[in-house]
Amino acid sequence: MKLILITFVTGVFFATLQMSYFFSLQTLLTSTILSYFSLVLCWLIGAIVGLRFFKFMDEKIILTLSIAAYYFFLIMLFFNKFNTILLPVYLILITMSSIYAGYFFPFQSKFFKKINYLFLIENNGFVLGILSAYILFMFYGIGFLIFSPGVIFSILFMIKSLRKW
Amino acid sequence: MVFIFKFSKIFHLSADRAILFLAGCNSILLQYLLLKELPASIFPTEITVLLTLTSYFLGFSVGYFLAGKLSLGKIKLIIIFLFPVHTFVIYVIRVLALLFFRIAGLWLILSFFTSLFIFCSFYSIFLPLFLLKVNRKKIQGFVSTFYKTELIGSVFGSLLILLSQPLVPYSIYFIYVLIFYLLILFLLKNKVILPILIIILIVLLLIFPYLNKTTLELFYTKSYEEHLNLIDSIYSPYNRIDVLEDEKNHRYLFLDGIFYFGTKDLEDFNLYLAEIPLYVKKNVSDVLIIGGGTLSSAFHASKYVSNITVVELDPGVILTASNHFKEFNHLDKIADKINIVVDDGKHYLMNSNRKFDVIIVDVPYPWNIQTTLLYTADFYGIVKTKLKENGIFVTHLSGNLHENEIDTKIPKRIVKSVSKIFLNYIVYSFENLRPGFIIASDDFKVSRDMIYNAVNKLGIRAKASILEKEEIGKITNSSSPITFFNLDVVFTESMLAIK
Repeated sequence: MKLILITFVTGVFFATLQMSYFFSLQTLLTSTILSYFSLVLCWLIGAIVGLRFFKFMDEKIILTLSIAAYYFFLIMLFFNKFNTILLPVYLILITMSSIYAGYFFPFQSKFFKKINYLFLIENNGFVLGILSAYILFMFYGIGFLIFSPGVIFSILFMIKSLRKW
Repeated sequence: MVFIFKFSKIFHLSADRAILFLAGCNSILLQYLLLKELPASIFPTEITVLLTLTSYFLGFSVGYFLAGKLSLGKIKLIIIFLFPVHTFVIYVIRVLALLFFRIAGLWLILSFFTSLFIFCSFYSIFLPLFLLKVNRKKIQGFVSTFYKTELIGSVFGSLLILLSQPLVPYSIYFIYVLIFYLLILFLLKNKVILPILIIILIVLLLIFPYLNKTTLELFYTKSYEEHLNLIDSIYSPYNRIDVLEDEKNHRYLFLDGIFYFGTKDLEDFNLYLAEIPLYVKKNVSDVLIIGGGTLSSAFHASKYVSNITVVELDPGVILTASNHFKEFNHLDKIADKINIVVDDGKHYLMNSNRKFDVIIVDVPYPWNIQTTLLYTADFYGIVKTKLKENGIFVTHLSGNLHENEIDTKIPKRIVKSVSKIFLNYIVYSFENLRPGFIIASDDFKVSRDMIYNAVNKLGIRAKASILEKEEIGKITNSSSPITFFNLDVVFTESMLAIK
């Protein structure tokens, strides 16, 4: 049960984080296509880094880095609204955030007897994350960007810290 | 055939990893094609985009589930059924849209989006399928290697989209089909298939103009109940842009399947939006138009001022307007008066040192987040900082503010957003056009008489209705402004459009 929950909530976390980056860039930097594709590319590159070096990483550090990079990005963006000169810094932070997205799958794979269920459960969480992120952003705007990733991260961290059940 | 397999060996790729690379690449290209075609075929709102993304990713879940149930042999059989669907992907979406045209609301959503699983599940099957075959003890290493290969494919796909933008229209569609065929080759490893696929691809290229024209004309003719001929169609970075012509040679511009410009009404719209404020303001030297990529509002403004800056997000709209709408924008006559900047309006304003006498915001209705951000009090606050002394701001209200109108919710909220930022404002509308307009300023007060005078001098025959600040206050009293913290209008407008 815990394994399924962790996998599902991780999917929600990835979607929330990804959509928060996207909406932050769109609202506080620029809506141009370049920022969107930069985000997609950096997210993918970060995940590839996570996959490549997962053996040398510590889960809690990578997960914390993921959320810390996001809030550092958000604070920088708040203080430098619509300033595209800082885009390269933002892209590095996005890449740092998504390392966990690569790390997660090989790390978690050893716990699943049937590997397709790892992808299935994570992806279902991702779908829920996208749906909720879109709707919550429409209703709460920047409020969503400030609170949601932190809340989902806390839930995930809490579940991971629980003893087996 | 041998060459293709040898090519994969150069990169030390097994057939499995080559398939994963191609699947990763095409899943990104498919997402792009779906986001271009689906909203344009239904209604281009944020909810449609959200539903497209949801069904796209749910399709992945279907694929992950099926991976545990299907063998590679069965997948090879399924390809026979999937082959036409993926080969004609954009036409299939359009035909589906036509089939579901009369179904409304939830049924439309369920029918249309469930059918999408056919497209999306295919590419997600391979990763878990190959991983289910490997030694359990080495699973972590295999997950790392295989998933990495798929993600590198996705990076490649993203780069293809980015780089192919300025190329031939619909080039991404052909790249998608080509990669799908390569995937089939690696999957089936059959020498006979290669020449067949090459022939099909060539035929597809040859019949593309006909199929594209036929399906788009069918869609627009059914949607607008008038026979329309396709003149041009492109994928811009933001929209699918279509130019069509009716039997009287009237041209229409459609962005994502929605009427954007070309009718007499819309010509009046630009007259009311650009000329009335400029006539009222007088002695104008610098005008900024945000949006208005057809450049028709710039033409109207050019009658009063010789220094116009147009900021448009989508270069495709400007290109199309320059090529097909010269009779409206008279670009050849006004070229020396206008400076076109391709940028996001709010980004441009915040990074420009210039100030303007008049700022006109001419963006589409608030059906998606990107556009709605330009209807917020936060954005109007940025606009205010870029106005010269006595400068004025003008925008349309996406509807009519008058109380006898059926739906005044959005106009009320737009006006409330403006009223939160500016001290003086006035709303005017005309009987022949749905949206009303608002002129706002801190230090320049526009009166009812000034607008009536402009209407008379410009020879506008349609009856005008004008609301001054006190009257507006009574109507918008209970409304809340649109802000970066509250963009719920996107949701309500999108749901209304789907209904």
